[in-house]
Amino acid sequence: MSTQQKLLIAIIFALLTCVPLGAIALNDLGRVFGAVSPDERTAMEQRALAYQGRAIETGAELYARHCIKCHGARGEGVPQFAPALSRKDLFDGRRAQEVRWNGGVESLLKNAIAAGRPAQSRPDLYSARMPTFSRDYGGALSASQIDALVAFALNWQANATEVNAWSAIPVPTRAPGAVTQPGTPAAGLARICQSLSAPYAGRKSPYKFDDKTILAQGKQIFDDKCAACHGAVGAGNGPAAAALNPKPANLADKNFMQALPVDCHFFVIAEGVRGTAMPPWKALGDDALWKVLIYTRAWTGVP
Amino acid sequence: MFQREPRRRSRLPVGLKNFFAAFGDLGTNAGRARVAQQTREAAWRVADDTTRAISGGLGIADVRALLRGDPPVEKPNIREQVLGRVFWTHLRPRAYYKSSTKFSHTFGLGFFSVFFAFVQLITGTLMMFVYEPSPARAYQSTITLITQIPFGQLIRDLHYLSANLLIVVVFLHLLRVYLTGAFKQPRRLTWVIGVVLFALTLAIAFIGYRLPMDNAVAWGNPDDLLRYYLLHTGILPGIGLFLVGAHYFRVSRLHGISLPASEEESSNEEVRERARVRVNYLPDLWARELIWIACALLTILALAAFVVHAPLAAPFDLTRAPMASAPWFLLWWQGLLNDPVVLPVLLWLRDTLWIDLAQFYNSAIWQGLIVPMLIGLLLLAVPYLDAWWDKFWGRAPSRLGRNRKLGIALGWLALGLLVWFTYLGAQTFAPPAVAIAQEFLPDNSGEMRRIGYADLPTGSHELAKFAAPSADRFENLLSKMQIRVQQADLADAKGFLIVEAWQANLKKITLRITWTPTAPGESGAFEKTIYLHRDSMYE
Repeated sequence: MSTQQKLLIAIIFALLTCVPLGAIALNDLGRVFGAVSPDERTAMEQRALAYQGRAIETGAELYARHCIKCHGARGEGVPQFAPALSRKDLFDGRRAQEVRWNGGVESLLKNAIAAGRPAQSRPDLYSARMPTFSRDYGGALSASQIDALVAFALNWQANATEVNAWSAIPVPTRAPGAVTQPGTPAAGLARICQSLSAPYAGRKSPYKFDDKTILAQGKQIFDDKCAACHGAVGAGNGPAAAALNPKPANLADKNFMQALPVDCHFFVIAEGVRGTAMPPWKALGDDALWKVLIYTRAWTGVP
Repeated sequence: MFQREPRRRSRLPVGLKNFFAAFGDLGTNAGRARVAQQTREAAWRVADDTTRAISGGLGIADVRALLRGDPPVEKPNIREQVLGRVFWTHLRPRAYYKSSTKFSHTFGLGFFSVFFAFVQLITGTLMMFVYEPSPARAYQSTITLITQIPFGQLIRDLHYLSANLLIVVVFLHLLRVYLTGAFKQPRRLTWVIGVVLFALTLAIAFIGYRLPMDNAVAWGNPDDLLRYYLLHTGILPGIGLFLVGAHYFRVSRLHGISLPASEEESSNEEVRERARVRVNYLPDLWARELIWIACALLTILALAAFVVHAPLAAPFDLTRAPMASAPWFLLWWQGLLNDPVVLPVLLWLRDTLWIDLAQFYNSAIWQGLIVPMLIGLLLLAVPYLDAWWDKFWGRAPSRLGRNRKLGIALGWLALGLLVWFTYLGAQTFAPPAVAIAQEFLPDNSGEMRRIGYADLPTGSHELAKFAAPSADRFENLLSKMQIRVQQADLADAKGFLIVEAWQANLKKITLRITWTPTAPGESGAFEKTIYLHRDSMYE
């Protein structure tokens, strides 16, 4: 090969490096070049969002390890013990104002996790004391981990509920660790049933409750979709149930079923229960849901 | 006495005088032609001088001849002056023996080692402008580099990619030199320096994995980050640069690149002489190296832009060490701890003769420190042991393969052991349920995360219902999990995957495996939970 040919090849390869470099330039600087419309995201902005999302994931893991016992699986807190976190007044600045915190919510959370609360702000409502979590103060968490926890806690903002001062625990779940007495329907469920609205309120089954074919079809669907959590006979102790908190409902419990009117039962199957592992099933179609409903109510005989 | 010459009034400077004279010439045709000729000559002189200043002596005509592959224009050969006078070019020899430049003999491995080391120096220096070597800021500054700095991710990917390639290339270089016997005298010290450089490369890379303070490697005290940073960015590369200089000096000035043994030791004098025909560095070898550089640059840029992205795991967490903490190039070291050959023998000795060597053999000080040091010493001693072996049998040293069958066999044996122990080091000896969870729900990666938030249906999925492969990515993954659960050494094993909507745009994914406990105290259930956010793009 002559020198000229070698140089030509080298120049071609060198020029080809413009392809990856140009691609990266478009990705990273698309905003500057005007190659990205205002409602699109550049690759770099997507990455920023991705690492924000990963921080939330890490935060969720850390929350499950360090925070869940006091503040609840869904940030609902434990009555008389530790406050809820998924609450509107924390995110709209009222809480910061209350404790005279001049920074934003983010720094309030960061500081509270890192340095704890050496003095309780509401000893009248909660008995637990927030310990220090930062490695700087003898805790277990690094600065990056506290950042991740803050990102996770801030992600509650979208679904935060109004908390009445510092007392009520509004999330419709049972407190973690609290033992559910058989026969006591969950308080959250009762609340859902009371405030049922259209199109669910007052709905009635299109099938008879003792129709053998419907029961057989209902059993088929139940065994397929529900039994893993609710158990083969609906006792709430299916093999997957142990992983869940709160636990699945005991459908074979007569008292529970009596507290659950048919329209509310249908609503719960169709829409799921927020704050628990019960997902919405309405994609299966009303017909299938009614069959399952009839089958599950057959155990207790509650119409 | 001595009388000072009276000071003459200065006249016009010569250049200006000529200029005015030329100005006067412009009146006539002949004068104009002369001025034009003088101007052309002057311009050529300036251009030629500038070219010589830049190229270190090559004039325009010689540069042209060089680029065309023509012989040099000026006598004596001006190209050799260039290679001698200019700092950068004088580092290269003026000529090589023809056979030593065969690509199939060296594969350019030494050249590419230096190339990748330079990529490391440049990209590493650039990253030092953003990276903050403090335990509190290191992780966050790494994310800033990827998400806020244009070309930041590219620079980091190039550094990661080129570090891995550097290790591969340096190792292959060592292997090539060993197998072709190029470590023999007069290249013994060059080999020793090379082995030290190899160890340095591994050490720098190992420490480099630690700097982002993520959870991919969990060793050491996070407060020592600054020390690792200084070692990685200053001290070790500094020593390395010095040793590369010594290594290269010996190759380029003292003994040159080895010739293929079959030609160097040929009985045919013609072959021996043909191997030693000199090839000038300029322009043939220079042009070939330009191709190599452009080609390697394009390859790593394209890979870094489109294929390979340097991973960044969750923040450092000593309480949650990953299952395999050694980087791939040190897995053999981890594999030493899983040794299936010597350890059983020692255990047998302990049980039958009460000679307990097993405990010391399996200790960190032996496996982690003494064995690697012995391996290093053995590598350093290779050329000296080799020379002693030849002397022992009274043989003349020879690089020919047929004269060093034992050495070559030992080389392949060592390579085989390396591969085997790397395999052993990659094994995670976890209980079956843990291994399944680790396979399908690993930290920071895995098929489940790649499927993505949107395509993970919430609910409790019993794996037994997904026995057959499916076109749906999620269901297909469940069927794969079911197969692994069934294959696992667990009685009546069942698997459940529970996907819960946990927070806004965040799903909680729990894998639960239950089985009938056989041993007393066994729980019969194992769970692993990961979380997946809508935006978190795992690739």
